[in-house]
Amino acid sequence: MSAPALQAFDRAFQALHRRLPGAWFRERRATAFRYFQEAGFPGPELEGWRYTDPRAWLRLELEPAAVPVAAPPVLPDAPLEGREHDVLVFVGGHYCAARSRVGALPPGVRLAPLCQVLDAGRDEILAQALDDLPFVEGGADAGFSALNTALFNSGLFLRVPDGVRLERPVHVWHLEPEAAAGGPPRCAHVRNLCLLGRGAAACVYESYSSAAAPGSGAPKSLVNSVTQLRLEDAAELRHCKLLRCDAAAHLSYSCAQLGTRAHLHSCYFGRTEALARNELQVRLLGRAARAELNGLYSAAGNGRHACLAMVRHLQRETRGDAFYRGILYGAAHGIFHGAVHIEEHAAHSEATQSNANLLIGERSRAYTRPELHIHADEVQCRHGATVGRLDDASAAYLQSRGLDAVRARALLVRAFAAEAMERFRFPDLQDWLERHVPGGGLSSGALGIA
Amino acid sequence: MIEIRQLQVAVGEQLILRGVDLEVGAGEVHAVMGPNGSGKSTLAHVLAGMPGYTVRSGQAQLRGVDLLSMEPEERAAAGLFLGFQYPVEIPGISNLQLLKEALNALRLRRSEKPLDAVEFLALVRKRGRFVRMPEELLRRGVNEGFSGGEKKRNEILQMAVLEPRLAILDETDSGLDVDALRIVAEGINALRTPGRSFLLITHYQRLLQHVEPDRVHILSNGRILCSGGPELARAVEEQGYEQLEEEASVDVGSVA
Ligand SMILES: Nc1ncnc2c1ncn2[C@@H]1O[C@H](COP(=O)(O)OP(=O)(O)O)[C@@H](O)[C@H]1O
Ligand SMILES: [Mg+2]
Repeated sequence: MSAPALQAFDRAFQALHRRLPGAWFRERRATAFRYFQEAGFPGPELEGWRYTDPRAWLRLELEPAAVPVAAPPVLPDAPLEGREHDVLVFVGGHYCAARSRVGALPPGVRLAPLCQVLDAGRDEILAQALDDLPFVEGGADAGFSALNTALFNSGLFLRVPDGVRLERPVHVWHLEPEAAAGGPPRCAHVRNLCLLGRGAAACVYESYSSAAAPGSGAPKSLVNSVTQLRLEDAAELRHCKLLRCDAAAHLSYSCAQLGTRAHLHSCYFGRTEALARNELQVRLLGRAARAELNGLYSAAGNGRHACLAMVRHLQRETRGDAFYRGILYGAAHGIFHGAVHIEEHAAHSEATQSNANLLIGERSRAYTRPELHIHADEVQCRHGATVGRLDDASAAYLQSRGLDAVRARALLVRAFAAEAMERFRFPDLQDWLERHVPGGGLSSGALGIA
Repeated sequence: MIEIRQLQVAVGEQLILRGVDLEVGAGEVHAVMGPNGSGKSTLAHVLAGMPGYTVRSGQAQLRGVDLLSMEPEERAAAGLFLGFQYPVEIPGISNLQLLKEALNALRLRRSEKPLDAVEFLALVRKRGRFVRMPEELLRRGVNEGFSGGEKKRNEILQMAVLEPRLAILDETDSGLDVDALRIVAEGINALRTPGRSFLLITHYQRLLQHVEPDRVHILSNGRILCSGGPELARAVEEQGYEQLEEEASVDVGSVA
């Protein structure tokens, strides 16, 4: 990243850090910021950032979003419309109480914007939880997560006590407002925390949408998010992340830690015409813990869309499945990096990894990199990766049945996405997904290729 | 219904059809027979507008309209249906979804309103009755994991739902067991109406025992070698193609 951009963050931190929520957390923010200043932003010299060089993308003086902005009068395309759920809305990184809605919750459940929890006073458990990150300072590419710790304003805080199962899904909705014309590009740091006690269960939607229309040139805003999921023994979390920020850059780290027999079902559905990078690190800490990771990512224009899924097996009989599908239009690039680590004590574990990419645009590309590190006996691992184009014979078959060329190809894109869609298994989201899936909905009449 | 004149078609540099003449009247059933590699599928594909073929010369008209200049979907809308010799598999779209898309696309071109899910299912059940395709199969991906016979029955089902004016069935009979053959033949007979014509492309005369053709044409080396009534199919069965080809070569012009 350019020197002016670093300076912009420095100025912002000096100006901001006294006004950020959680006075007791200030010192921690300052250490994180010092780390960020030393480390700077990760760049293409690191394997994990080779194809998504933020320095190439963010040649702009990012202005951390200091002041709350008004929510847009109409919230665009609500993912869970008409379904019973609790929702926390954030606009430009700031909590928007007027648009949020939380119903009655079981005893002991805490669902609130993180800024309120921080402002409620020193909280050692929270401090520990926030530090419980695999991308802590010291790691090679922790620049963005350190910056996040230094500057985050708010995000989700959800704690579900032992044995409690939430009935309604929780939706954390981050909206990026349109950047003011001529104003500096904005930067929002978002921190989400989800802590499930033993045998607790919850369903969390984490979605990001942007009001800005895709255009040419550098993205007008950046979202830098860190999401931490902790599942105690036998906890169950269904986590679904949705990204609809065509014009904004989106960098995110998520990490999940699973206790004995805990189960994480995590899905990612995202589309960009700018830069989107999703890194998900899962640690299977307890015996028979299980993580299912699914992703359907697409990019158009000159977009770069990266998914990194790392699963570390630390105990026996753990299971991890990563299933990612990429669809690349125009001159977009898709990047998948999957890593499986099966440690010494993780005998009888099972890991699968599958990535397939569909290149639509003449100049689109896909990079896929599977990585397996196995240090235990009696484990089962499978992985596969493919890159292909639409099948002309199939398109011709559909056309011979009366579908025009555009619709035939759209349908084939939809068919490619189907396998990933089937794994999502979020019934509340089905309508929304059907509207947004590449290739378009199946039952409607005229739908072209996006 | 269809009129083909002096059609010459190449794949790459190689000329495959060397001047085909063929005419099928409304309500007629014609069979095109010929040895492997004689150009039967090429003829079917080029009429349906499948990519990969170059029309060197000649014409084809469907009910007076030039077929060869149309897109494949326009040919479908004009009433042409091709039952493929090797139907593709498309996992991720179910047979029902494809049928609904196809039917509604055709309806749209005819300015009819699209069918909703209930009307559509009722129609598939009614028109597809005789093909006896279990609905479980129809909910699977297009031809996904289908046996050869199931694929062919599925082509017949699509034909029954889309109600074309001219159905070209490319070796729909090959690879079928006796029961499946009878089902397919019943399907064809049930759809035989004065307004609908068939071009049955076949290697053997098995299917023609169940579906009596009005005319039989022998395609050999890219040309119609000879034409005749149903008895020609039986002659092929008894003598084989080689004998016919030999006779034709000494007796050029004996075509009926
Ligand atoms: N796509 C193709 N590429 C090269 N040769 C082809 C292609 N399609 C057909 N041919 C050739 O054209 C000839 C006729 O093929 P085809 O029409 O499939 O015959 P049939 O259906 O009568 O068995 C064969 O010699 C075949 O090898
Ligand atoms: Mg053939």
